Amino acid sequence: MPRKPNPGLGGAILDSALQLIDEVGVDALTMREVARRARTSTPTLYERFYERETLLWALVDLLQADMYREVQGSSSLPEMSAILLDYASRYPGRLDLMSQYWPRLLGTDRPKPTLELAKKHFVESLRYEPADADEAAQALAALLIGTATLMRNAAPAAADGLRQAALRAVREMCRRVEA
Amino acid sequence: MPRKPDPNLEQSIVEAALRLLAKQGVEAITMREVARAAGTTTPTIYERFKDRDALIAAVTDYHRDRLVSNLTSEDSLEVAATKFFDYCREHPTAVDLLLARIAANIKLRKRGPTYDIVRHNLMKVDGLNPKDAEEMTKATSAMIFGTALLVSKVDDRAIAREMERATCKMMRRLVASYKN
Repeated sequence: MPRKPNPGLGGAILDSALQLIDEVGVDALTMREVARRARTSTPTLYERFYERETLLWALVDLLQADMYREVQGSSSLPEMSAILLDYASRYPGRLDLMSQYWPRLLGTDRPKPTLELAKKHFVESLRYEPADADEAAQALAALLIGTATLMRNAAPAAADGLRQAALRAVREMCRRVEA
Repeated sequence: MPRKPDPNLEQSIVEAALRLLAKQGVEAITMREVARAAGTTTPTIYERFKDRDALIAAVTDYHRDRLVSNLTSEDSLEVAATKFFDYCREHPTAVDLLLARIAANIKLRKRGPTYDIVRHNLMKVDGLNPKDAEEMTKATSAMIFGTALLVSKVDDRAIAREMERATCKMMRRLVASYKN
């Protein structure tokens, strides 16, 4: 008799994987440990997620949705940027996952709600042309990922200096000046 | 009797490590492999370099110095960033080392030569006042660092090029905005 499918298993696996990324980082995430924490077996895990890479992509989608929940109420790009920098300092493992997958994510049609929201701010509030908004949102992502990564290494005062400098740059992006 | 110090030995050790880095990446730099490639012995390498980290630091210095030698005091921010991206593309195995050096400098509250060049040029070439130049150097260093980090994670050259172009364009816009 086949085992009863467990509808909650996929969620339990993703929760466990995210927990592991928060605790030990992306590089130390193993399928065996994910299975153990989700109270399932490694073969069952591989049935759901073909390989480690498949699981990590699912986490990227999950993180995109989670980040979007944090920023969806923000009314401006500086506000949104501050929220994302705080999110990245709270979850350094998630920051690493995002920087590893971000450029490849851009080349797929997977959802990128945070990027879309940034673009929307550039177009609607700041009257950027759509093509310019696309580039501006990418540059913003590079600024935020770069700043968050450098802040992680810095002493508190230096980290704050980096954060302030990045947020000032975002405010400047919002001014109407022709380059 | 102690052996005569060989003034070229240190250089040939670093050169051997650089060849290993270029061909196989940083993991290939082990004291044993470097000794073999430099035609010397592991103990001799340890006489010159305290440990592997010290050797890696010398390798990083080499790339940093070459990168800096490409920059001039006439480069606008955009030109300097483009040179950095070009250097990363031409030396993909050195990117992690260069980025780790930037992060380490921030941790040690040290300013590397590229930071000083960017700050200087933002004042002299792009015409910013010192306070704005200081703040913009931090933000643009982070943006250039972030772009190089992201580009190093993707094989698709079209996506990489797009990210670099987006960053350069934004820097032009920012310079104009800070000046006004």
